[in-house]
Amino acid sequence: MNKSDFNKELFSNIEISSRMKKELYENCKRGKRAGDFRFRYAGALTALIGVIVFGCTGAASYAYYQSVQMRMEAMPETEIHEYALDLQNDTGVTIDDSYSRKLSDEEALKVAELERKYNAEGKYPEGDVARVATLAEWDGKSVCYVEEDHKLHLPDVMTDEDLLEFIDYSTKKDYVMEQEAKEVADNTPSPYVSLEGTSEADLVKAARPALEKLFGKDVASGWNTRVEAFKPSATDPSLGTSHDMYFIYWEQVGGSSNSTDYVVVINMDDSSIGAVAVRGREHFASLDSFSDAEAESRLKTDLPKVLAEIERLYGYKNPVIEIEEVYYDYTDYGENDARQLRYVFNYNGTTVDVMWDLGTEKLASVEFFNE
Amino acid sequence: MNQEERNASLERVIENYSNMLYKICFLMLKNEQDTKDVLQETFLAYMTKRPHFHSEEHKKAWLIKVSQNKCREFLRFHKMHAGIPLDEVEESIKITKGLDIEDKEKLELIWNLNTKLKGVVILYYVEGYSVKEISAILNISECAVKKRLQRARETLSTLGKAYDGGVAYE
Repeated sequence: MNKSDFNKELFSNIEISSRMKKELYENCKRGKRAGDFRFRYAGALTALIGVIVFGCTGAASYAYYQSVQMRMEAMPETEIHEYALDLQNDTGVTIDDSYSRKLSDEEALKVAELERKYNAEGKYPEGDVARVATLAEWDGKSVCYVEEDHKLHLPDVMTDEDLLEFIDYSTKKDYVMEQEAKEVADNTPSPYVSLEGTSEADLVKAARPALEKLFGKDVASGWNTRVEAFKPSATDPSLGTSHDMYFIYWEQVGGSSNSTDYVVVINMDDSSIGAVAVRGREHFASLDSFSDAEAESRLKTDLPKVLAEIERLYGYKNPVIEIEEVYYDYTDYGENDARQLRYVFNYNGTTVDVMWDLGTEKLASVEFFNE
Repeated sequence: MNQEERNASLERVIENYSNMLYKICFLMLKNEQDTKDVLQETFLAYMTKRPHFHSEEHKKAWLIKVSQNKCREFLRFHKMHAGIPLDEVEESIKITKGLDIEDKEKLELIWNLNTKLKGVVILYYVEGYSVKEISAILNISECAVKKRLQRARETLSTLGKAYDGGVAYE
């Protein structure tokens, strides 16, 4: 396929409106950040703070969660200013792009484990991340923020202390962003609304069977639950109500956005199940890795197993296959590091979009869309 | 540069590049509001960071890189919200207006590519960047760019039964 063969007209109708251009100019001129963007980005920390207040089951845990909050609030103004500058200078804004290298699977798993101790047991680093102006000043042996390239540089081998400093840095940076986002979010219409006509307990009760059906009887037993009501039609009625959903999460005590969590989506319209999934970098890091060629060949060989599993769980049979592809995580784990397959099936008007873990040969997520 | 000059520079960059970035980000995010948020963050980074560019091409590549990174971050955190099918988006934005059925189906195929493949496809086929340039923009190897292009073509071919030659579609 040559470039000249490609019909660019396909995209000609995707155009920015004059109104949006004007809004962008006015907002950027005033230095206003996209409130909704940061509000959503900061969701993980919002959740953690939510747990501080509502979700903890034991007094000891409650105290330690409070201690994280107190640690954040105790940051001196100079430190807050440093994190605010780091955020401003952070243009390579995916998680990994902000660091000198990607975390290995072992490090990602260890980070998730230590984050839970950091959040729930008050296990903090003894020192702080060092800061230097130029890369030449970094000794290469400790976690260090280099102002020259605006990146957090990680040593080749990271001790628990290094990883805790890394966690502390990330948590504080998120906290500063959360504080900035709050100012904007308070004045920005949000698609997240309060629960109406139902309770958190009722939604958890309704979602639990769907979770157990896919992942087994005792999955996430004893984990905290959290519920979000996502209602984009409240801020943009033209979207219709088909994307109005409840999100019911099961999260580990002390868990963060890196931790494994489970989610069940319930459609507000008809209370049907919209999706069931296990997520998180911790889960992804725990999966076996396969070469691109192996993963490609597994698309065909695993297909019957995937179809059989969907039929066993949900009774769907004989679909039209719309998509089958090797799925790469958004955090870009690199070439020849495939861990999941994605299939989209159409069962007589019901679209089922699934993720299949190559190593465990189990479904990692199922999403349902009705025509 | 004083405030007035900075504002004029911002206005120019929005005028010159917002449509291109909108196209790229909208195809990645499948959502108008999210696209607007990403663009706002991108232009704000341009305003606050005030990078030095060697040329207009350098500036364009920088804006694409920043916006793609923001898209990826957004998707990482909001995977569950990012799956709005094309036909539902059409209800509010007529992006397939004037296209015939075959072209609509082709657009649907590209719409459904995974984000990594789609990012490379858009830069290569729509924006006309070379493999080397995409490698620099996305900070991945040239080999990785080629592999993603190949995989995208294979996926489009598999899904479209025949995407041979790019425009032939059965």
